[in-house]
Amino acid sequence: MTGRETGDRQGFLAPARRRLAGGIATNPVHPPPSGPAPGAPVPLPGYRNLDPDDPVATFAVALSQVDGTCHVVEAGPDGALPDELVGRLVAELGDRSAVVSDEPAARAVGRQLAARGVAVHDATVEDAARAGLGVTGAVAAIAATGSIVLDSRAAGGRSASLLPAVHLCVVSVNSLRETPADVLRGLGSEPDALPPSLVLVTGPSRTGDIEQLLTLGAHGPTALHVVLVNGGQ
Amino acid sequence: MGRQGRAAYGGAVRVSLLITCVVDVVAPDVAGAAVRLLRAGGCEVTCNLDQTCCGQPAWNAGFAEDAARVARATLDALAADLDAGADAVVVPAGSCATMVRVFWPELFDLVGDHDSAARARRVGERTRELTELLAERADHLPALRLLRPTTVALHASCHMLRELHIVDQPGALATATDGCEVVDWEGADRCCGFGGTFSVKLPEASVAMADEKLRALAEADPAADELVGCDTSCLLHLQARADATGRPLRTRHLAELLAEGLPTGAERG
Amino acid sequence: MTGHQLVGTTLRHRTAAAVADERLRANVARAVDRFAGHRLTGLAELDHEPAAPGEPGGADGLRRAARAVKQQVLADLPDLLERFADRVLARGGHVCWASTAADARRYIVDVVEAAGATRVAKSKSMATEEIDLNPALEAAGKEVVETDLGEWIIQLAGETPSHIIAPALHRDRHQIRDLFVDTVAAPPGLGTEPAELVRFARGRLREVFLAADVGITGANIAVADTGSIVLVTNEGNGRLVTALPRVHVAVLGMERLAADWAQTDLLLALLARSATGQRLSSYTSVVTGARAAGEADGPDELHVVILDNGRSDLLGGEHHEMLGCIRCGACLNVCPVYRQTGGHAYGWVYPGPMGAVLTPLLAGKEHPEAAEVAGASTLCGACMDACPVQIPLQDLLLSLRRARAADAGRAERAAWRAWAAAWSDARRYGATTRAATWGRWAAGLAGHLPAGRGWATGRTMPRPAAERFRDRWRAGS
Repeated sequence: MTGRETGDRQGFLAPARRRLAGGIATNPVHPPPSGPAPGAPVPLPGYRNLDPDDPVATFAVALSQVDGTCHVVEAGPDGALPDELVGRLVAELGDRSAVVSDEPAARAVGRQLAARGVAVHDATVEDAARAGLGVTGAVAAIAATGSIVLDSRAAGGRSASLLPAVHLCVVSVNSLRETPADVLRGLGSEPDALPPSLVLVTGPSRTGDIEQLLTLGAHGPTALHVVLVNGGQ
Repeated sequence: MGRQGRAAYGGAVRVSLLITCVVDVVAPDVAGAAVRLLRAGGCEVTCNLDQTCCGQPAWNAGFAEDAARVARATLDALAADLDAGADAVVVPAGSCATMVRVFWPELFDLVGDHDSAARARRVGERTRELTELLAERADHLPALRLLRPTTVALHASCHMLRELHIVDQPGALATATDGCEVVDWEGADRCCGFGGTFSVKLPEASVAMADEKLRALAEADPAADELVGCDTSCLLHLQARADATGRPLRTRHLAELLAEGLPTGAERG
Repeated sequence: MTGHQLVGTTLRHRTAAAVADERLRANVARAVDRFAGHRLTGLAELDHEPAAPGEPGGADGLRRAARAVKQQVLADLPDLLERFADRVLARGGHVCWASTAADARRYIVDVVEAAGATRVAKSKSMATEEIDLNPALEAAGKEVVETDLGEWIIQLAGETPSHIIAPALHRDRHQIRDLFVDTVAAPPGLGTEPAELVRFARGRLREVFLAADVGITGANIAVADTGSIVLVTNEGNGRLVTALPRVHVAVLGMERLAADWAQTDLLLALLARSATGQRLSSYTSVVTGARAAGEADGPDELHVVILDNGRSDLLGGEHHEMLGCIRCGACLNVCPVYRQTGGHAYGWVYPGPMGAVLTPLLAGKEHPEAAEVAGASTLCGACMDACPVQIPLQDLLLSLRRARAADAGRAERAAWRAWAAAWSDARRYGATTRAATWGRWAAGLAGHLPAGRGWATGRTMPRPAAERFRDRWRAGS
C-alpha cells in the first residue's frame, strides 16, 4: 500500500529548481574538481588492512579491534557449533534465558542451548528484553571492517541482536565479503529486495560521551560474538 | 587548489620586494634581513615605494571595496617593477604572499576590476614568499652559521602552510644553518589566534589561542631559546601576549635568524 | 529559537565567557584532540588509485571524489528528492514536504496525536534541534526523552549541544554524575567511573525505549534509488527507537541525499573515519519502509519529513557547497577557535566552522544577530584540510563577512573607508605611518578606538619602529 504524501511537493521543490536553473556558482579560489563524466563510476575505496588472500584473518582482526570476538569453526552436523564454545556461552549465561531469531543457523544454536537446559524463546520484544543472550544469523559479513549484516526479514525482527546484553551471530564463511562496497553496491539493483531494516553491525554498542572514554554496552549489546562457519552452506 | 606554474630561478635574479605594512612600520629589521639574504643569494633587489599594503585586513573583515582600493596601489607598484625587468616579487610574510597569489584575483574580480584581476594573476604567478625563494636559491646562498648556538621552535603561519603549501622550506633553511637546532613542539601548526581583525573583535578568544601556543611552547622538550616564524603579525601577537603576562619569550622572524648567519660582507657578493 | 543564545548575547560575550571557563577548555581540548588523532589514523587506512596523474591518492583522493559526488547530488537535487520520495511512498512510508520549521513541527505533532501517543523517544538529530521540535511536542502534552547518552545529559541539564557528534563533551564525569543525582534521582552512591555512569543511563533509558510510542531520528544519508534512510550510530539507541515504538519519524535535511548506493558507500567510507576514526560506526542502519509481515517488531508506520528551512536558498549561489556537509564534526575537531570556546559560544545549533557558516545562513533571516557568527574564525584553513567533502569553508566565511559588512555599522564602514583612502596612495600612507605621527597618535588613540581597546585586552601594544623600512631604503641601505 502506498504511503501518504503531505505538503506541496512541487511547491516545496520550486525554489530549488529555480535557483539551480540559474546555474551553480563556483568558488574561484578553491574550485571543485570538474567531476567524473556522467556515468563514470564512483571510486571504490581501498582498505589497506584487507588481506585479499586471507579475508577470514582480516575479519577476525578487524572484529577484535572493535571489541568483538571472532570464532572460526568447522560446520557441525545440523549446524551445530562446537560443544566447548556452547558450553562457555551457557556458563556465562547463568540462569538467564536466550532468544533466537527466525534463521536456521540461529535455531540450530537454540536447540543446542535448550539441550543444555537453557530457556530458549523465539525473539519477541518481551522475551528479548528479559534474555541474557540473543542468537541470530547474518546475511553477510565484511572482512575489512569486521562487520556483520543483519536483515530484519531473514531474522523475523530486530530484537534478538539488540536487546539482550550478549549477541551471538552465526554466519557462513561463504557469506564473507571483502569490503562494505561488496554489500552496499548491490543494494540498488532490486529496491524491493531491501528489508525494512538492514544493519551493518561493527562491534558491540559503545559510547564515548563520557570524557571520550570508550565504554561498551551503551544501549545495545555489551558483547558481540561472531561465529564464522567453514564448510556447510 | 589554484596552484600556478612556476619557473625555478637559477642564475642572477632581480627581485622586487613587497615590504608589507606591518614590517614597514613595526619590524623593519625583517625586511632589512630579507634584503641581505636575497643579495647574498645573488639577487638584485628593487623596492617600489609606491606600494602600501596588500589589503588583507579589510579583505578578511569583508570590506572588499576598501581592500581593493589599497591593494590596487600595491599591485600597480609590483607590476611596474615586473614590467621594468624584475623576475619575481618577494614577500617576507606568508599571509601577504597568500593575499597576492591566492586572493588578489578574486578580490579584483569581485569589485568588477577585471583588468586588475588579470594583472594580479600575472603578478601572482611570479610572487614568492621569502623562504620559498631562498629555498629555490639554496645553491646560491653562502653557508650560514649562527654566532651562538640557538634552539628554535618554528611557528608555521596558517596561510603559508595551507594555502601556499610551503611546509618544509622554513625548517630546512633553519636546520641547514650551522648552530641552529629546530625543536619539535605540540601544536606547531596550530593558529596563533591573530587572524587580523579577529584579534581585536574577539580578543578573549584570540588571547586564549595565544596562551595555548605559549603553553605548548613552554612544554617543548628540548626547550627552545626562540620562537621563529615567517609572519610578523603572528610573532607580534604572541610576543604581545607573552609580555603582558610576564612570560620570557624571544621571537624573531626567520629572515632575521638566517641573516645573522650570513658571513660578513656576503651580501655584497 | 529557544535554548539557544543568539538573542540577548553577543559572539564576543559568549566566547569570552567560554574561554574564562578553564574546565570547559580542558574538556573540549581533550575531546577534540582524541577525535582529531583518531581521524588521521582512520583515514590513513583508506587506499585509492588516482584517476589521472597529478590527482591525489589515498584518503585525499577519496575526499576529492566525495566533493564531486556531492556536487552531482546538489545539481540533481530536485529530481533525486522526487525519486527518493516516490520510493518511500511505494514501500508504504509517508512523506511530508516541510518547507519551514513550523511545517515540520506541525506535521510531527499531528503524527504523534494521530497515533494516540504520548511518549516520544529521540535519537540524536541536529535537524530536530534546528526546528525546536522538543518544545513543540512538550507544548502538545507529549513526553520527550533524548536517548543518545550525550543528548540525554544535555536535556537533563537544560543545555544545547556543544558538538554535533559528542553533544555533552563540555561536561566531565563529575559534572555528569552530579547531574544524574540532581535530576533523575540517581543513587547518591553512584560513582564517577564512566562504565558505571553508562550502566546507570542504560538502565534508565532501556525503560524509555520499551515504553515509547514514537521514535524520532534524523537521517545521515537518504538514498534515492531505494527510498532508504541510513542512520549512523554507536550506542544502539538509533536502532532501538526504530525497532520498538510503533511509529518512526525521520527528519531529513533536504540536501542529505545520495543518488545511489555507490555514492553512499563512498560517503560512508569517509563519514565515521572523519568523525571518530572508526571504520564504520557500531551500527549503520538502513531503514526502508515500515515493518514487514512476519517481523516480530519494527514500526507500523514510517514517516519521512523532508525539511527545507532555508536550505534551498543556498542552492546555486555563493554558499551552495555548504549543502555538501555530512555532519561529521571533523572541522570542529581541528578548529583552533572551537578548541578554546566549545560549541555554546556559537550561539545556535551548529558549532565550529560549519556552524560559523550555517548559523548566518539558516538562522540569519529570523535573527540578524546570527551574521556575526561568521567572525568566529581566524581563517586558518585547518577545517578545509579536514572536511571529507572538501567544502571551501574559508571562502564561505569570507563571503558571509562581505554580506555582513554591507550591513555593518556606520563607524566600522567609515573606519575602513578612511583607511582605504589613506592607504591607497603611497604619500598618504607615508603620512599616516610616519613614526612621529604614530607616536603622537598611538598613545592617545589606541586606548580609545575599539580596535585599540580590543588589542589591549591581555596584550601589550606593539611600538612602531623609530624608522620605517621605506625610510631606510630611501636612505640607501
